[in-house]
Amino acid sequence: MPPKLCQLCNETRAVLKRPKTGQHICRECFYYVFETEIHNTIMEANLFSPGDRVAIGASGGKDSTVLAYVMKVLNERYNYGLDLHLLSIDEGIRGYRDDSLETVKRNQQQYDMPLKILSYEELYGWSMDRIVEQVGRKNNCTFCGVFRRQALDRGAANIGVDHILTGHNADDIAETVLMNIMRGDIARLGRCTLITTQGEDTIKRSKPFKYVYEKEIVMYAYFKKLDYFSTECIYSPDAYRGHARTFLKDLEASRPSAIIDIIHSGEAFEVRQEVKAKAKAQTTCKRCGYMSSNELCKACSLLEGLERGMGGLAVVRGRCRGLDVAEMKQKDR
Amino acid sequence: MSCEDPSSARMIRSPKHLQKGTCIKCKTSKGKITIRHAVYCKECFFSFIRLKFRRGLEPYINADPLSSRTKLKASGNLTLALSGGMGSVALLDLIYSTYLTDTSPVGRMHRQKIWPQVYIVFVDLSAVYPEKDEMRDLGTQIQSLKQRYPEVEMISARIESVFDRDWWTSTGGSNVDSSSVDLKDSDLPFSSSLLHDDPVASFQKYLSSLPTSTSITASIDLFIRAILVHLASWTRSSHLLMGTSLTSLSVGLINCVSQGGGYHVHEEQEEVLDGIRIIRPLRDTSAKEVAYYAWWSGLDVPGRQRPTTLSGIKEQTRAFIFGLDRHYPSTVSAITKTCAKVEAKSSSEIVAQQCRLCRRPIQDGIDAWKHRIAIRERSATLEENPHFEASSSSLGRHLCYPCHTTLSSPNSRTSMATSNTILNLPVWTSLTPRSSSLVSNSDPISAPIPQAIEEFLLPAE
Repeated sequence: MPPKLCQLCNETRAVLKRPKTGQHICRECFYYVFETEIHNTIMEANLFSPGDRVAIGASGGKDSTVLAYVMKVLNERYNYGLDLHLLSIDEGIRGYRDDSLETVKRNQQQYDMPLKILSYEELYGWSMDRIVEQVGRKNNCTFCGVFRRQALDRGAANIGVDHILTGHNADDIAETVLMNIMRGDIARLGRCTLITTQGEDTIKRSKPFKYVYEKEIVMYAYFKKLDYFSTECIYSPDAYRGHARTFLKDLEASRPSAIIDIIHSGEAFEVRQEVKAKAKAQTTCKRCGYMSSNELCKACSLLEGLERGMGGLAVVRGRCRGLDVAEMKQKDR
Repeated sequence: MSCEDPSSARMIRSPKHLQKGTCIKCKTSKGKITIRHAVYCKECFFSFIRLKFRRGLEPYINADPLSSRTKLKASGNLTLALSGGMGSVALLDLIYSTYLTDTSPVGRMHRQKIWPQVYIVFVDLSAVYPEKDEMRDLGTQIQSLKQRYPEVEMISARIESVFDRDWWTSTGGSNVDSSSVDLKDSDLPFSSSLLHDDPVASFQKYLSSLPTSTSITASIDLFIRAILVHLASWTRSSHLLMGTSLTSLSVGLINCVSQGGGYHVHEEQEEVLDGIRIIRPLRDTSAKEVAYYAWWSGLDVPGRQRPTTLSGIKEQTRAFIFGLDRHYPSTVSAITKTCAKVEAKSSSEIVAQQCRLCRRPIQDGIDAWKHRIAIRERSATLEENPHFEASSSSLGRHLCYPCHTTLSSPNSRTSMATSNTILNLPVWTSLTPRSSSLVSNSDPISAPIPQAIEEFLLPAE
């Protein structure tokens, strides 16, 4: 049987079947469509202005490694004029994060980008290992997720960048849409498909891989032989998200377009005005100045619970050991 | 335990949710059923179900929602969709016992009928599985249901009728010329030529040409809905009732979202088509409650014609949601509550076009969006013109996102067939559109292939 020709260029032998479209394509065409689609996403959302200082949230995993690589390629190819940085958060998970940070350090050399590493220990006085020691493995993902979000903002403020890019891919977003519908989280459902989010006091945050399939990221990293860390976190994954993820994988197996179809659905609807009107107004945390819908932000509440030895209970009293975002911005100025 | 006399039998209790005690409502009788951690006796359970049913229907009966609720009067007849499943049989019983008998409190109150005539419509799916005898038997069982409800009139239609112009016009449809479409091209070019006139052949060709089993299920659902609305219009009905339970509605909503139908989440819950209001009065009643109602009422449930061989998105969603319903019932109701709080994004002030297949509104800019996020051709024009628009002779531009995906989205294992992709379209689609150096140079193949992408890599020569 003659080899299949690439369905895009009709010249070269196809080496892969594209998960997103089902087309048989060659390696060069795969690079072309992968990079051009990300560029299209960036241009459509008008993500950058020349001279922007942009931090890439780097964990050493496949998504952030490919993101750093592709951003460097696109920045040079299309003259975005960006000043790119790597920003890593050390959650303090021995045997996992310390190894992945070594990958990030190698990426720094390979991509020639400045790297900043911030740890939970220095920001909050707690490492994830110590948190798990106290709260167990059941809810530790809640702590990690809340702390990381703030840590990235604080790190970005620390190095004076205007914009953080994260490696969230299409699978992550589709999964979040399903999860927010299932748990009735209207506020998050309304914003989870936005490519860029920004609170009053927070730094702009974007997801250039919004329409990129996880499988294609793995393929790209594989063909380009990128150096990434592929071990899963040693602490148990988020059970609720795991539930949605398994379901999504089943849907994708039935019809590969399911991932993009779910994102399209999430983009096609919005929260009704009367529901929005009833939602709690966004304010700032009285302790650390971070955006919050309560007196204390989620991170400060969780920290308070930890300091009082109450595990996962978010107690709304006490002292915040986190750095003040406003204070850090002041220092930068 | 006897299968003949339901009153002598008891359903096996779930040890997890079994709660001893008296009924939460009357506080005197012994509890027989636990619903979301509340125990009810049999009598209170029935009044609870009837209350929810009436709450889900009566506010929508009068044409003017502001008119007084004390006098219920519909502007036309009533059509009830009967699939043979638990929900539709229970709904028929509730309608009959609440509004059509003089013995019921509401029946006495409304001596003048709310609807002049009540019809039940059964869509025969035997053409989907011509080899299965039980599909044919279901029609007979459905006919026998009518004996229990003498005041309702029954109409039966075959699913392949959607390709039958004679049937369509004889049941009040406009005289139309059918057309065909070529699925090979993702823009879906269509022509007015008809391949053949036999409805069964057209129907079977249509199903067999679809790219995925998800598309087959979605098309069958779409055809059933089209027949129901068409017959409701023919019978001059103002209301079309579906027996969708809370659990089934959650399945429908997640299925709709998973197939890109976020723009139609509202229509999935309630919609008005050709002046007919489509209502799901059991949307607050879980599948478990519907099952208990049918069981304790001694209803004869023939069972739905549900495809067992297909494993598309709807079947997977169904398995997932029914699993959740067993262990996390509040998650199932959270899905419907969440979806009730969202609406289609209004991107422009132009009146939305109707999809030629499902007749739901088409969102603006779908072509451009699809071409931007997934490049399917390597031509300069795509980069130069990201705001792509399909040709005017393509069906693609007259379809909503889910219908376009149904006809064009390929399977993960097989590509779209390269021949035999021209098929007839259902009769109503031909009507005029309605307004409404970082990299190593070594060969990557020598490196171990990550498991996640293994099946997508083509073998070397």
